[in-house]
Amino acid sequence: MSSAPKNRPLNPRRIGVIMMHTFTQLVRMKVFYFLGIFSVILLASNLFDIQNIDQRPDLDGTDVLRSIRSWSLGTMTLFSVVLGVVATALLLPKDIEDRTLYTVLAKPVPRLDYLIGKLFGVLMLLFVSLALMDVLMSAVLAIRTHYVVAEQVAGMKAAGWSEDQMEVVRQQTMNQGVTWSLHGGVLIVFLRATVVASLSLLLSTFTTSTLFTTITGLMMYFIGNFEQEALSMYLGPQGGMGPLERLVSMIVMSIFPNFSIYNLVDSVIEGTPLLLGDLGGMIGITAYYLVLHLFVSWIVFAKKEF
Amino acid sequence: MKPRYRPLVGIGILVLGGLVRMPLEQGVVEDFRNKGLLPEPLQLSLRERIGQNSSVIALAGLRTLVATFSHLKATEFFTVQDWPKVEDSMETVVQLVPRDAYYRDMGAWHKAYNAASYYLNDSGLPPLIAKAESRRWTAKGREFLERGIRNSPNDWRMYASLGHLLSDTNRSPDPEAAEAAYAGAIATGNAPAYLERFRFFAEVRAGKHSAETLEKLHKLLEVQRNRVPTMLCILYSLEYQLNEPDDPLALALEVFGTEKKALRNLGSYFVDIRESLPMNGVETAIRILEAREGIAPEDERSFIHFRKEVLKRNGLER
Repeated sequence: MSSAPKNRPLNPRRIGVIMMHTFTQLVRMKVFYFLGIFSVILLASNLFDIQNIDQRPDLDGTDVLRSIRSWSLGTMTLFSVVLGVVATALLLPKDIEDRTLYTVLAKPVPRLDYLIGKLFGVLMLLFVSLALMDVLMSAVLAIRTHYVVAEQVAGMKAAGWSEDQMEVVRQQTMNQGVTWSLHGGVLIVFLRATVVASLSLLLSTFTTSTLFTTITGLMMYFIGNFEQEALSMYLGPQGGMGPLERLVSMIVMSIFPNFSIYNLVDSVIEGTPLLLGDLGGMIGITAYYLVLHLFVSWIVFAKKEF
Repeated sequence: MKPRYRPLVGIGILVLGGLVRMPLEQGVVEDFRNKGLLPEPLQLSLRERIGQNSSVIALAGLRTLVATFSHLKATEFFTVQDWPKVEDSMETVVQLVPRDAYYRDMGAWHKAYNAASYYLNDSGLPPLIAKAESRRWTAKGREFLERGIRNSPNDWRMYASLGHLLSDTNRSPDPEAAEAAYAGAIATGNAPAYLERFRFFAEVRAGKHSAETLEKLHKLLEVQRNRVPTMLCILYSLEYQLNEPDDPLALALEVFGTEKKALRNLGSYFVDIRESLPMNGVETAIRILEAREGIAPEDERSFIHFRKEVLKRNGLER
């Protein structure tokens, strides 16, 4: 006796197929051309060694390493945020426009699997792009660090610095090069983009307009970056707000993700080591946002009629 | 549930999820702030200073990128020697990234060294005013680092930079404050070991030449990497001062091992007139060692002669 095949949601294979399809679809939109622009920015940041400091060999050349780190991670942030919003905003309207959505949903594909597959396709594209950029940045940074250290050591030897002083400077300069914390910083950029993309997906379930989703998504990103400041300003001891106003503010702020928490990347650029525990905390927070946004997206999308 | 109510339910869940998230997230934010991983929110005055576009970029999670550009601006002003603008740009940089020791160091270097030297030597101002301006800029550099230390009391690098500045004989030296700065660096618990030597140099520059100082020196010299020429020369000088020997040559041999090494190290130490380190018995030892090498004090090879020349060049001969 044969039983009817069960059509439970959260089927990894099904999600994988939709994810790969979305990834291919986005790759065909020539997203990777951005890597060329990234390389140009990377090379440009490499040219900013304009400050020749003969008297301070320990500071000589450090600036260019900082330029490479901040320009690269800055570009990665901009790229991932914009791509996270735009690519996700495109997903549902494009599938409706191409009528792919009707073909997919006519099959026994749970809508939750469809949403997860679509979102993970964007996340895969973001991950691959950021990983490639990380490789490029690491290569340039490693080569440049090697030359900066060599110049510093030569300068310090000429100035008669002791061996232990030179070793400390060498170590500090190496900390401005390729480190595990730097890769951790790239991972945080990816986590931020994950929240941006999941938020855009949520917005696109409310509306079918790509333009509206894109603009609202970017605005929510900026508002999310203000959230920490708003919390300190309005809800702090000097906020001067009544209980009702506080409650309303809390409700409004609860809708927007707190993106300023991802500014941990700034510390990584400055050379502060990133601990695994801190990274774990960030992954936890991101997972919470992802699940919450996906769940609400599914609530809205599950019975939506097209 | 009717489809038209679903968006409202969705928003309700989003609000509820947010209210659950916020206290948990605040805990993480506080933890990151305490560890110095997250900067404080941007001040209104800073937003006015960097302009609307840069404020938006900084608020969009690209604060260090704006700091890099502001630093480039400072470098541009440095090349045209516009010191007030250099100062302004560096203030912007450190407000954007207040815990970064590199930018503090660079800012202090611009103020206390570059600007101070410019006003003293190249400004074309009358000598007294030039000197006063130079001192003012050195004080600005010092204050800049002291502010950095107040912001990041656990960063040894800012204490060390302050110690170096206050030990520099060309920049209103303050050996006692330098000693305190190096002690502060050591107290952070993560300073490199060589700062113990620098702290000791500041101590002897401050005129502390007691038996206790000598004891500290002996303890430092137990570590091989501290046995650098200057430390050995200070050992010789303090031993000479506190327990004046009948035979200075024997003391020099005990400290340096060989006559050649003693003459080379004490000679270099003797001609370095900027360092303000103790000189007790150094000239005596050099005279004895040079006599044994057949070098007369008037000889061009003599360190005695060389020191006189250096003093003459610097207008310090007695």
